Amino acid sequence: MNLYQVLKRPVLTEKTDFQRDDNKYVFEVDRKANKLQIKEAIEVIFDVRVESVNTMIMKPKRRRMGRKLIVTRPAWKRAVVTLAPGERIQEFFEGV
Amino acid sequence: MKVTTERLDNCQVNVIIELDASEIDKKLRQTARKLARDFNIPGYRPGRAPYHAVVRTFGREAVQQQALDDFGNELYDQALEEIDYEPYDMGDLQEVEWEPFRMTVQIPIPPEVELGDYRSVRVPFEPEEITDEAIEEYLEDMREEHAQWVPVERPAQMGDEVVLDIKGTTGDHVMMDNENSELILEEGATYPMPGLHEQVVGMPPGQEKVFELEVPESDSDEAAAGKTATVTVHLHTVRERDVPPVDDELAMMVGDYESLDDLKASVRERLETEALEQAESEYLNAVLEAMLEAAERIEYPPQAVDREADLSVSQMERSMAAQGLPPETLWRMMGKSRESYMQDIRSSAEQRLRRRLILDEVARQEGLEPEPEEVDAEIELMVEMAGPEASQMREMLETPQGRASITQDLVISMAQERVKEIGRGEAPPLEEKPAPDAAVEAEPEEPAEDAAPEADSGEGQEPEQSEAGAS
Repeated sequence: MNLYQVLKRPVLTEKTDFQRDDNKYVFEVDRKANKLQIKEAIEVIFDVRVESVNTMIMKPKRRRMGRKLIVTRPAWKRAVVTLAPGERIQEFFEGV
Repeated sequence: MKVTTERLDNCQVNVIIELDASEIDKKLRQTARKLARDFNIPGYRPGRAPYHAVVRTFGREAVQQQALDDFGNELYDQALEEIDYEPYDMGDLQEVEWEPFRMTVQIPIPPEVELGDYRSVRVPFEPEEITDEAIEEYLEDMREEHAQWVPVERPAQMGDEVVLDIKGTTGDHVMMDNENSELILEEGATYPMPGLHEQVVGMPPGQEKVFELEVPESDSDEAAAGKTATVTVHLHTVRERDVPPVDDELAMMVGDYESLDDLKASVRERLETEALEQAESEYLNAVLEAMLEAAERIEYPPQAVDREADLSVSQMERSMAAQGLPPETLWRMMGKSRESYMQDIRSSAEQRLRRRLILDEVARQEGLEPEPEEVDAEIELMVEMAGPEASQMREMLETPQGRASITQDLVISMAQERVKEIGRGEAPPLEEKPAPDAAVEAEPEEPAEDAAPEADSGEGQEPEQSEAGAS
């Protein structure tokens, strides 16, 4: 897997806004990416030092449309990346 | 907030509003909070999205635009408080820069008039002299008006009125069969058929005559067009036009006059009054034009011309509506839109505006102000004139706006009188004015305010006054 295929998008929600105060940045990543790959991708792309990476598989959410039809979005992998003290990622996260 | 102004030509002022970065940031954040409340921003509960999330979602420009919509008017109003100019009409947003924030609004200001030495304007007053010929002419018209048709026993001539039966046929087709139709014989008349009048001439009453006439190709009766018609005419009566001579009898007939001299005197008086009125009104305009020439400066925003044009179009619409013609129909009949008509009358509206500005300024300079009793008297007069709607009229006029509008009308007519006096060199010397500064401060708004109430209430009861002032 290419380095640039690892990260899919930043996750920007109320919760991740708060996590950023602890220097944690949240991304959606490729399901097959492992922590080392994620770490490398972050370090290369954003030019920062990464302290640790935690990952989780997000359960697909079910949503019913009408009475019978059940729609599911695929499951996805989320990575919470903790940066070394003093490091920051400007892109996406702070005011445009 | 910093507000600066920049005077332009044509009574326009650029108002420049500048805000510190912190001030404008505050406004933007306020707007963002509102946007977060009103719109769903993914990842955030309603109203919880922080500034940067809002900006990210909608884009900086959109937030700025929204902020301008929200705060622009507020800023504008605040700015108006700070500047020394009174806006005459709505401002026009010229441009907005964001970093640093700088908003430019162009506003029109009330017209400015400097009369110069208007008191030395002199125009000769020359009412038209009423000559004996004019009176003769008038009597001649009167005589014609009282002419009567008198039956005569002689062959018909051109200019007579005849009563006859006409029957016209082409073969079996009857193209006309009229009994007792009245005709005034004229050379070259084409009704009912070309040549018919000429044929009737020379016939004595009671005679019958048969003749042939060509029916023109263009005749609406297609069966007869282009053919030769056989026409039978039976002439019943021939009447001659009897014009009464100008004598005492005519004088007694047209009205309550003793003799011809009596009538002549009355005619002279009437013509003289008319001529004088005409001359007075022309004279007023002549003096006003002369004052316009003499004025040092007369400057007004284009909006003032629009307003003047709109006023007269509205007046026209109202007076047509009073005759039962709604505006939509009026414009359809005129074959043009209200807007294009307003364009057409712009130049005359501009002329009226200029004259009115002079009048206003004269009124101000001369300190013309009707006494409260005069206003009361005017109200009484108008209430009386209103007839059945008297009580409504009184109710309308007794309001402060009603009084203001009447006062304004009175001031205008006083100014008109004064202008004419000045032109003749009969104006009374100026009284000692109160502090000139106070006058300058207090009055310039007047023209801006007077237009509206005049249009609403003052009109209709006394149109000749406002029109005379304007035209």
